[in-house]
Amino acid sequence: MDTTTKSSIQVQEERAELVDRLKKEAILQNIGRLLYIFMIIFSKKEVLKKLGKREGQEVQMNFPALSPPLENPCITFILSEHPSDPYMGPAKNPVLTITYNVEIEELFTTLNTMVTKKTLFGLIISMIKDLFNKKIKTKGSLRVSLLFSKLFLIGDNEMYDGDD
Amino acid sequence: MGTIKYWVEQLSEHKIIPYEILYETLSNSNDLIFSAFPDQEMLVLKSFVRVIKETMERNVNHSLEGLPIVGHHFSFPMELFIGCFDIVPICFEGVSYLLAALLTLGSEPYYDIAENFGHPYHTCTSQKGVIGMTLNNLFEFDAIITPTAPCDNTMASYPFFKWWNNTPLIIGDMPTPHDPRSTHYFKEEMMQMVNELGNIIGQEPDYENLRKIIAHHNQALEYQAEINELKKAKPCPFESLLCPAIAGSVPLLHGKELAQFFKEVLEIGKKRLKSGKRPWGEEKIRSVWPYMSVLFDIAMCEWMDRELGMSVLFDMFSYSFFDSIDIESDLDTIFMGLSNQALNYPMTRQSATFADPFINDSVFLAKEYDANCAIFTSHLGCKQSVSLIQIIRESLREQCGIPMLTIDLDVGDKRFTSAQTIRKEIENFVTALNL
Repeated sequence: MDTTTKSSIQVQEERAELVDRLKKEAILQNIGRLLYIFMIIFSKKEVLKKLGKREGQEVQMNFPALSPPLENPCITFILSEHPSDPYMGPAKNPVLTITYNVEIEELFTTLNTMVTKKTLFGLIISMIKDLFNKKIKTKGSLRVSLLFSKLFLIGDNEMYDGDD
Repeated sequence: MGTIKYWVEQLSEHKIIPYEILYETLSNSNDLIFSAFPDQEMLVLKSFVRVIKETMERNVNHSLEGLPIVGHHFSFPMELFIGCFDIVPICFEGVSYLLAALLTLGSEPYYDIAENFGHPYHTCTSQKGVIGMTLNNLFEFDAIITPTAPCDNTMASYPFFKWWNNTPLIIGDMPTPHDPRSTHYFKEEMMQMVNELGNIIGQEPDYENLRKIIAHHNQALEYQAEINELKKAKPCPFESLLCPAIAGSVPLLHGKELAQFFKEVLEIGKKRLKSGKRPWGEEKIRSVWPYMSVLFDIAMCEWMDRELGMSVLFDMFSYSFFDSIDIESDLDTIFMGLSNQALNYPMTRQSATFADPFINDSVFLAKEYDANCAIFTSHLGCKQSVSLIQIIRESLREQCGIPMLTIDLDVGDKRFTSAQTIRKEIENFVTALNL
């Protein structure tokens, strides 16, 4: 940073922008990491096996609320029987794109709704509701959409037994 | 010149940006973890995230209030400086690895910045992360504190900060032998460090407050000892995630906060033991990890618990090999106690002196807690521990009759050995154990 040629206001603005950008990047990366953790711990083996048949296909998740300052706020999961962290950025050839049209404050609540559903039926109803409200928009294969959603159906994991 | 002054003033509003990021991240994680998991599940993780989040919030607020920012090494009883002075403590290694645990890219962009700058690739990522962050102007320290322990990485990396922007660096010279003479010598060093920091930040040491914070730390040690006793039960009432959680809490939480976390964990363990309920299932294998947990993938612990039935009883950070301090005694005795703790702090005890404690501690934990196997994470940056792997393996085989798996990796950088590869190695090892 060449401080001698910039005004104090410019420097202040740059600093504030940097903090804002880093925080938004952190939100994006944190979503990616938490979804990966949910997948690793709670995804059912049969769902993961089905994913294995689609090894290498990409699912892109967009979060427009993080733009600006992020130019292309999205993460991409590569489908595999052995899940890995998503990478930051757009997919080369996505079979499915999911866009979350919600404010930053609502992002984690929306994700929470997605991961705590107990049945696929419950999840579909919730998705239809979100699609109707335009909170979520999907583009691509319906089969992959259902399969990908089933990955996060942690609500039917045995750890929820006895939970109200 | 005027613009430089403004720049510094503005920088002062955001002196600890990585802590601001961590606070933001922990808040979001906290919300999702609490709302997504049932009440009886992932209790240690919930407690850890909540307490660390509150600590980050306090630190960020204190930095905004203008308290001096003091960076420090993790393997050191920071109660001394937090008790004596009003400061914002920033644990270098804690920042790098907490980001590695919570974010997809972790601290990797900052490792790369440090390496592109010329820092060797094979040094420890725990410090390399903060070097990268400092090169990116994300931190502004008023002073930095470190002992000359536990490793060459520390001694080679910390002077960077003094060289880069002339941040005052306070170094405590720790002798290689750890005996009573060394305890006395390092006590003098610690007293000198307190004086130096006081002069730099313009504060007088508050020894009454030091006694208070040590009292809380004593309480934390009592809780930790009880937690360790509960681990002797079969099955172990704690999830494996407790090990990385303790590794994160010891350097980042101090006094009351650490005691609070350990108290909550102890209650969790007692309740589970009483009810006999262990939400993640059967325990088939009891493992000790003589070195560190894998910090860039905390889900691995849950995977071991649920998929393999493998409990991780201990890593290097989950057992404190030192005594509490009598706060009623005179200052000299208190400093002797702190010096003794410093010499026996996790990792410093095992790595900053001759090899015996590392070998003996590994054998002690495996025997005392009846482990079936050991797993050694051979961290790229930690040359002194890697040199001991074969001796530790032979000692565990001869004295405890258990095998040890070694995995080459970087505990804070998933690009060296991927989580999938690590899981595969552990899976193969478990199959070979045939338990």
